[in-house]
Amino acid sequence: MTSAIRRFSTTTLAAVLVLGLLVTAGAPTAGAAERVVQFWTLMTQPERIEGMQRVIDHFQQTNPDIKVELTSVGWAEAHTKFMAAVAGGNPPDIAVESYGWPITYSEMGILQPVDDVIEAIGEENILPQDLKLNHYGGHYWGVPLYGTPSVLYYRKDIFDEKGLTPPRTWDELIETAKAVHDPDNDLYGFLVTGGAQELTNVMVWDFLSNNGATIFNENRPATEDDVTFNSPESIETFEYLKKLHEFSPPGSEMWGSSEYSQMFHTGRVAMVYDMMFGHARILTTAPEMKDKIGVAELPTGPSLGDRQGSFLYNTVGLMVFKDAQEPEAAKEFLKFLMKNDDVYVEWLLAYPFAMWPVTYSSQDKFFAAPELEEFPEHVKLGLDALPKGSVTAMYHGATPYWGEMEARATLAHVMQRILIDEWSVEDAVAEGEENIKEIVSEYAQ
Amino acid sequence: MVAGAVSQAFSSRSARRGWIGFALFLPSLLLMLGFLFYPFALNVYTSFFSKHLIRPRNKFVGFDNYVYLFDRKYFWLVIENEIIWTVFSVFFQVVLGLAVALLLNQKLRGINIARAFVILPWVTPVVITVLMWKWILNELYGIINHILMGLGLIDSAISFWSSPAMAMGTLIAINVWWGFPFMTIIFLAGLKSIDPHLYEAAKVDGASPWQQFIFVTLPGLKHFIAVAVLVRTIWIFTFFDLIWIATKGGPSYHTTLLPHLTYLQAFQSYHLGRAAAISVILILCLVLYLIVFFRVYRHEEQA
Repeated sequence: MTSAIRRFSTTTLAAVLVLGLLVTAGAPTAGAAERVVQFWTLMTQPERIEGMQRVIDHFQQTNPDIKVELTSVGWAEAHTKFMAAVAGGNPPDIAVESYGWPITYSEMGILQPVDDVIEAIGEENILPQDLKLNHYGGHYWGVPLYGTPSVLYYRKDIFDEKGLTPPRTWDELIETAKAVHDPDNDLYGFLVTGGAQELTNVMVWDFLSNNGATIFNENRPATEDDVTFNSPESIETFEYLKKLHEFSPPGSEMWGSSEYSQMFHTGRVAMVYDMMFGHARILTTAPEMKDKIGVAELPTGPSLGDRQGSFLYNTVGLMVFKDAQEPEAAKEFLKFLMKNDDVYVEWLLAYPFAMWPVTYSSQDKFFAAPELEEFPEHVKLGLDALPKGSVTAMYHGATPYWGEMEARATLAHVMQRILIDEWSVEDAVAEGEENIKEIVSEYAQ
Repeated sequence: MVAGAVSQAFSSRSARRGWIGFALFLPSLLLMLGFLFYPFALNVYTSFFSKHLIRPRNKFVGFDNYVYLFDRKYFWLVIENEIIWTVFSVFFQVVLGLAVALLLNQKLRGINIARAFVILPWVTPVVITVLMWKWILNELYGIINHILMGLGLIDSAISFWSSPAMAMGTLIAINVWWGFPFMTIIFLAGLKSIDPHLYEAAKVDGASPWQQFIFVTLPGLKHFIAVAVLVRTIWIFTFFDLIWIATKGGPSYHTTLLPHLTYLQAFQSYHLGRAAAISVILILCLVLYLIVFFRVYRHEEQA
């Protein structure tokens, strides 16, 4: 009898516990958010992730009914991750994007326009090149978040020792590289790379755009006939890069960012083209190097003529997916981030020099920040450079093709053909143009 | 009459047993159909369509995807890479695996510890193996270049990844290092199965160690070598991670294999039709290999 009672009590207690757990698991807790926004960031540095989490915390304080869940997925294979998520019917609501991606994705029909967000921020308040790069087919597909200009980095200590000044033209650049180059003592003039990495894209576009070369003409929408890659200016540029490669360390044909950092930071390469993001990296990983590294505007090529020199402007933004679960809540978050200058500037400065403001209203606050005071030449260069920025394949405005060109490493392949396969520059550029045309024709199908 | 009743009972029992057998086999059959035959058939079917991962495009194009691939120079380079990569990797894994197996088959002190150690490369995850070797071979801070330069054997650092031949050679070397213990284990098991009396008889007949190896060891290992080569060839032919982590198929497609090309078409260009066509070609290559392999094997058996 006693054991029967004990068995009954135990069974009842267990049933009550299980039932309780089920009920509480399903019930909304007090103050819980009703709308959850999935936000995929590609940034991996703790400073930037923590900075964005602070923005989210600010936002959630004023919008308690919205919860923003931040996930860092990294830049590597980001396209693949997005495609897999979209194909699986479960994309994030918001995601970080790099230049050109929103246009590519809009062509695929997987994004929704963000015209209302741009309108709320104010078109007149956003830098023109950022607007231009996100506008396609009558809509905005990305909300510009920050830009990063690319510059010529040089080793001040080596330049001072040899009495050199930063070069302003390609002729001066090669002369300077020659003056520094001393391979017997493990010192190289300039770093020319061909690895299928962003560093190669930056370098190639920086040279092309400073020699009057473009990849597409101004016709929009661009067709195969509008591909202008195989031009005398392009050939001249790649010939120049081939010559400059003579002053580059052996093996650099396949290098990427890690080798570049290793060589430049240890003073074995005197000059390199990179985004100003590199300075942020120096400040966090090798602060003792900060006074040894100088920045200068990119030298210009012989065929630039009267055209204004340019540089790769790495504009990064945010996009909202078409199948987002909470698109309106997502857009509320974007408006909060971009309209609230205090919050926005605080985030930009979470990783100083990596991210430059894209709104005019935030510039005063940003450029007066104590974090930037120590490097006035960087600030001046950044301010002067920002209006001249352009991006690969989109000098004359947005095209949807860069995403795929980047994925297929089109420019890196041209470099590899020249530097590794020892093709003639003409053949390598011709193949590059054919590859670009193939991408364009595939879009037309 | 009795005989007829017995026969009927027997046949009904046999039929019942047949049905029970089929019922027990059915789950496996369904799993095979669902997880093997259906994806395979779908893949072949997709290869005849211009299908995009995201866009609602799904047009029948016949053999266009195959023609597109055959028209590309890089496709033939990839086929060439596959042959070089597979033949050299398997060959050197067999040679090294056999040599180490013969060594480990000796009765020496500490041989059991050596047997345990030799398996280490094989149990190391491929990611770690590749990253470790990338560090060791790095032209800036790698220990190999450091030692060679320290010994005065080279003037400047060797770039192991920049030239096509060097990159492929380096990858094969890493693959051999990583994969030879598998061969060693198989061959060691084979060596244990050879009757020691055969060696004694060979010695009595005055056979040298080399002749013992040729006329006793190798014939005794024939079946083991055949199985090892068969399995490793299929694995190595379809390798993805080792090369992808090391070179991403570069420079200029010189280390790209068919699985990488499938991945690039499917997830970087989003052309599922072309990716499926590459997979079909890969399968056909392996089927061709299996036909040739078994023909040769059967011929050897009959001989």
